Amino acid sequence: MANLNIDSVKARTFDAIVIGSGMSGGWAAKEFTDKGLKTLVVERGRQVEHNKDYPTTNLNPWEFAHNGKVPQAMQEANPIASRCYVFKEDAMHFVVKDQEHPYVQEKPFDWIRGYQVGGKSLLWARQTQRWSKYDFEGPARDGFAVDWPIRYDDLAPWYSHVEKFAGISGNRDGLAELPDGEFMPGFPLNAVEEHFRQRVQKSHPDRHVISARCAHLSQPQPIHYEQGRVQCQNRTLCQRGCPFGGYFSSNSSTLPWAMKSGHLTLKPDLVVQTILYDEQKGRATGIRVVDTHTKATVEYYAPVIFVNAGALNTNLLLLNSTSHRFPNGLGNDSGVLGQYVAFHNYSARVFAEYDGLPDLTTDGRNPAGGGYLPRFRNVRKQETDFLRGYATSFGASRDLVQPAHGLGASLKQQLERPALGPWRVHAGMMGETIPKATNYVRLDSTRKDAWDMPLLSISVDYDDNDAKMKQDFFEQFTDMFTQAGFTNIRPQDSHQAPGLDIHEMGGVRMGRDAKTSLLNRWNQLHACPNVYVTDSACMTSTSTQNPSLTYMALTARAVDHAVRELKKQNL
Amino acid sequence: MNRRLALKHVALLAGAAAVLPGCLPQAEREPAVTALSAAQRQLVAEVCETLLPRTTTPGAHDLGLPHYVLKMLADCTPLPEQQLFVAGLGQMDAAAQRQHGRSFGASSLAQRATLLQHLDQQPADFSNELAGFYRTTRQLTIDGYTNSKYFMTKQVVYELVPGRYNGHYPVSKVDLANPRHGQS
Repeated sequence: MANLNIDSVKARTFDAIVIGSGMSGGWAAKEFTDKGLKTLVVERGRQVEHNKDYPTTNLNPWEFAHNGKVPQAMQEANPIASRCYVFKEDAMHFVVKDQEHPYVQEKPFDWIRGYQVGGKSLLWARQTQRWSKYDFEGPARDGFAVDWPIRYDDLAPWYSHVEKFAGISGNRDGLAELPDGEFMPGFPLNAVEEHFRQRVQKSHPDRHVISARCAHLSQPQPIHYEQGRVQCQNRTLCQRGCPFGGYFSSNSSTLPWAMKSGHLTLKPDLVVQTILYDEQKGRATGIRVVDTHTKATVEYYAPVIFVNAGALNTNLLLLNSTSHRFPNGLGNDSGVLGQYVAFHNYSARVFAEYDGLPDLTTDGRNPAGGGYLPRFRNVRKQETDFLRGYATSFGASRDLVQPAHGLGASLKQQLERPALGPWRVHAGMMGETIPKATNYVRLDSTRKDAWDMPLLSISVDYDDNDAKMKQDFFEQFTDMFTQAGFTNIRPQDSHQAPGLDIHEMGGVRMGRDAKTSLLNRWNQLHACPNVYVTDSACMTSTSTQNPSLTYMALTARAVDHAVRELKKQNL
Repeated sequence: MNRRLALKHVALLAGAAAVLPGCLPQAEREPAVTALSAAQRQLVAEVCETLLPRTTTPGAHDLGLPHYVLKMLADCTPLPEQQLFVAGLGQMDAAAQRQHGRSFGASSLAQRATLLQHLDQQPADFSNELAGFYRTTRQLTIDGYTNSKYFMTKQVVYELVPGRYNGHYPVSKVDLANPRHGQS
């Protein structure tokens, strides 16, 4: 028996454990296995294998039962998921249903989740921008949160590392506030996006309209073919999973790559309940998981553990990982675990039309979405009555117009030869929010889910700074649109709750001081250094960039550190 | 975020709101669309065929659009809107009687078209239920038509795999019936 037990423990012991298989977990798996470590990745959701498990990917519009719409009963049962733009007939199977995974909203918060292998990397909007030095310096300069323990130069080589493998399309725009990366050719601005770029250049020389940078293969390199991925085919059906591997996801890229190494063990359908902590060794030793179907629990062991469960679930897991040494959650000596959660303010848009360039339209589809304006407020110094600023998505398109009236044979003819509508333009704000102790998550004291995990209780809200910033966005884009000759300009406040941006961050922030932060400059828990957190939970501040690229770079950098430390026997 | 998709969604929502007049209380006692009789379904089919008749090309009946309209109502429409539709449907024959002295089904094709033209052009002459029934049926019939395999392969062609993007394309070169320049 003793031998059997030893064998069993041996079979459940790995060189590294990664919790979560989404955007950052996939990267941890790739980096560890590239370095030859026997790696276990546990994922709470079901298996989604590239191509094999994309049931809708090659369906034509008429092959869907409901023309792409979500049935009413499904909408009514899932009010939270239904607010997410991706929750449509073609991809709703990749979005968590409200009732299957309840949580507590102390304040309104739309928590959008993708519980499956690959997580939300299947569903993301694929926008990828580097942070700049101004972003990392932000908290220290403006006196909020805590100082980042790293700067742009620390991350720059790791941005390059992940960009080359993931495949990023973009132009070298030469902007200090949005550093250039390792790019394949960018997707072009269309005629009206280009018109706006030129007008803004004249009216506001410090503001730049550039092609959106995105994780699509516009010109694949050998490293991408080696992953089994080929050129993006401009389908813009990405949320279904891409049979070409045209955009980056864990499913199409990092996970199959890691699997090919022979060093990866991927176990779906396992919820991690706790990280095991050895009081004598002063180290984490492994994890306890529960099988989502059988409810059986089992332990796995490794000398190093990466937590990549997705921002709020990473908070939940650490808060639930208690021991004599850490009664308030693993690594939580400071008491700030779960606090300083922040997000991006996506609640403001400006719509308009343009009568110019009627002789031009677009042909095919642009997977990048259009244009992007890096943050232009308070970049080099404080200029406004609010802190920080916003980046902006900008796009223009023309739709086919359906006649509003009429019937019979003439209606048929009009539908068969539809007119092209006017150019429509829109700008979407992506505002930086300020992390605060009062924006927090915690464990619900009584209620638990089906896997014996406490429900997560979320208390996150906007503040006055967000309101002032939004007002400025409306004013600036109304002015810029007016100067560009756009008409029928319509600012629109969606009043959406935080969370729907799907850019929740923080709660396990990095910092220089163990008294005010959880993680050091290498993403190690200050108080338990063989546990690394490299997903969105680690973010000290949010800046305005779409954040996934930064999680990828932080993860690759942290794995490199962990492997060096393992070799030095420091972990 | 997929901004273009979100934009289209906004436009769709705005359209849906316009269909909903403020008369829901009267319709509240109506059944859901799933409870319609065979005769009522037949009436819906006749309205659909009047909206998009068979010409040299297939019409509503040929393309199964009545089934599409009723399915989208039953599966994807909130109950109050379904009830408004059912209430308006229930008034169709009376409206046809007033205009032409016979039920909608017994009316000639020209008489059916005349009544629907009247509903189309002067909805204020009719009850909110009838006007709502007409707008909903018209929109869903159009949706079903433009989303049909026939329409998307023979009329305004849909491409699953465009493989290109040109942001400066001359309108003069657009040929929607060409598989390379159809709808996106």
